[in-house]
Amino acid sequence: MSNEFVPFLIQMVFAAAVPLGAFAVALLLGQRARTSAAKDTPYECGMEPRGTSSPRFSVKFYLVAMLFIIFDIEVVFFYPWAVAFRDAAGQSWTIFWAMLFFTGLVVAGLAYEWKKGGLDWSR
Amino acid sequence: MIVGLSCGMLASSGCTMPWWQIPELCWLLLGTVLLLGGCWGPETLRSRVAGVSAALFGLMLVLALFFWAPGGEAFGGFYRWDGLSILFKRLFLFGGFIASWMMLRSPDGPVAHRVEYVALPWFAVVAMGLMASAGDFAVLFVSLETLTITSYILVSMERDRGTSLEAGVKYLVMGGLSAAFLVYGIALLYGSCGTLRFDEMAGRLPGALAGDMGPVVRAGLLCVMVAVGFKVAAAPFQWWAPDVYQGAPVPITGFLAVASKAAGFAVLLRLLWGPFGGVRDTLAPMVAWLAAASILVGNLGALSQRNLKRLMGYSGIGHAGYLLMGVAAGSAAGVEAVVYYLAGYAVAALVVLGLLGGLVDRLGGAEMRHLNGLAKREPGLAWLMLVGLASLAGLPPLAGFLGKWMVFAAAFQAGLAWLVIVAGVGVVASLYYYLAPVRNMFFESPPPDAPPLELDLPFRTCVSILMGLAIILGIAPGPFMATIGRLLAGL
Amino acid sequence: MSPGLIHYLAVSGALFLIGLAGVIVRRNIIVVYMCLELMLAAGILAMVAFSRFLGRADGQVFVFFIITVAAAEVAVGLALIVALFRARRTTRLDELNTLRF
Repeated sequence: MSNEFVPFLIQMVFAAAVPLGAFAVALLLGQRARTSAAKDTPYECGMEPRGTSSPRFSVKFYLVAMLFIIFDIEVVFFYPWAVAFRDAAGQSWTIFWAMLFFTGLVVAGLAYEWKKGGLDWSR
Repeated sequence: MIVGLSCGMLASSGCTMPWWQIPELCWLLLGTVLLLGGCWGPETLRSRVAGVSAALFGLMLVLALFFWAPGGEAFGGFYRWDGLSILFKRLFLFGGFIASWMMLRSPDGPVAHRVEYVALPWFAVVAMGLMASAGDFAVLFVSLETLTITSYILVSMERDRGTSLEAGVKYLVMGGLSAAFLVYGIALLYGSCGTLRFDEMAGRLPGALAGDMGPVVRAGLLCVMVAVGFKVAAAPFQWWAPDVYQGAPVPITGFLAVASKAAGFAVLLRLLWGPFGGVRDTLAPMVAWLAAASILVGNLGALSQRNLKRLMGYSGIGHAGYLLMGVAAGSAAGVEAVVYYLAGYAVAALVVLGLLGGLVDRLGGAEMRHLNGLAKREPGLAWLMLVGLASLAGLPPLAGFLGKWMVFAAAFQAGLAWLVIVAGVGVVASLYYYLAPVRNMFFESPPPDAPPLELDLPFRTCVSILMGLAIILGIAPGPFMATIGRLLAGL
Repeated sequence: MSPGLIHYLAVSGALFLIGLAGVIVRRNIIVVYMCLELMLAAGILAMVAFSRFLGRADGQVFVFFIITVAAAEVAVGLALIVALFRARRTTRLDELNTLRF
């Protein structure tokens, strides 16, 4: 094994040793905890918790996030296209018209989701 | 949601066929216009969008039947315009046409989503067309997944009916699994051959299989075949088919049974007579085993079914088995038989499912008992149904009989006599379950307070034409076979 | 020793098998779906590794397409699962049993 991984290995050892050491010290020196019903509640001397601990959040967030990701990834295709554009356009304009077609489709998708109310936050 | 459709067309370079001439782009534009027109257009257009779609499908089918000639490629070989792709594209358009025709008949179905319901088959047909024309694994993957994703939406369109959604989610899980296998298989093949192009891989694959990378190539081939097996619903990858066929709206069941299955076989033929051509002899026994398993699972599973849509799901698995026999034969006769069988199956299955789609609301369901006494209520429709079922069962002189005959002959000549015997068992079993609805129709009495079955004239005409096709294909297959032979000559 | 092709492939094969095991064992649709994505990621990793070690760019371009398709599939899939949850109040696969005879 070459030396370049040795610092990484040392870091791994440290990362494992710190929490394990903390547990070990706590086991050796600490008192055993008393357990009772009151001890197990989330707030030992506070209000009773109500409702669920993992509240549902509105599906609107999910919708917007999904729409963002889809359009985000569509736009990724522009980058390799832009890199290749200068060379390819010198030979023929096919690459330009093809991307125009693609862009048109993306815009059509945007128009569709707009009309369907996908972008309407207050709905 | 569907903006990802145009991917796969972006790789463009010098081409013998101008890229804007490929028909899929035209279909894609038509589908988009229908979708946006149905959203934004005037009310008169919106209420007739299904009719417009059916008419456009008909127009495209006519163009495809009379004006297409093979030869050439586009996007520097990424898109192949040969006889095989033309034959299959005609079949896809036919399936789309009949499915949109059937949508006209079910106005009280998923009303809230009419526009998507009508426009999505266009995107599915675009994807199938690209699958049949693929010249590269990237195009194949993107188009196959586009078809799968559109199918999820179409299957679960009737959201008010719980079964539709449930079928959609089951299809989703199975489709995702198939996609994962496909990606992994393509990655392994790419790694061992160093290319994604079909024509380059065809030359390198036999060498790679024999060399150090042999196990990797084997694993890759296996993964890709598993994915294609999912798509054509071959056993043991068939679990989804009965549930999806039963849960989907009837026009979509017809569309999946006909067009989607054909698309799977287009890919299988494209692969085995393209990049996998050099290792076809290695894969043929595997295809033969898939065929035997599908025939047994499909036909024996169908025996106990009481729901006609679910029965079509199971029998569809069996038909996939017969079709795989033709593929396993590995000969030109086998491929011709597969294409003929697909056309005959399409016509007969659409007769049965078309009638079912037109009647299901009036009958009250798709169970066998709902067909009780149909011959007394509507003799004409009962006879149409009888012809469709008989063709599916393979009774002469219908298309189903000749198709089975040709497939069996091709398999026998390839030395697969054991497979022909297995298929014989399947045919005998299928006689029983295809004739069970006939007993309900002709020998049971109708329910006492049965309302009259109103079926409009265009619909009757459509199904009658389909039945006529099933008979003509069976009696006079000459011109049809000549076309197939001519278009497949260069395979 | 720097990581070679075989290491990437080992990770990718492990990911694929973990995902497959999850799809088979787990019963919650969302978890199953995440496992499917894991399997796709395994394919993507293998693709990128091969592309890098073959010295060709086309594999990496293909990965863009896989990611796009996966995003579209997740969007549709999660929409279906949300709709199913609203209709049935469940996300467990074994409770989807109305389509059985």
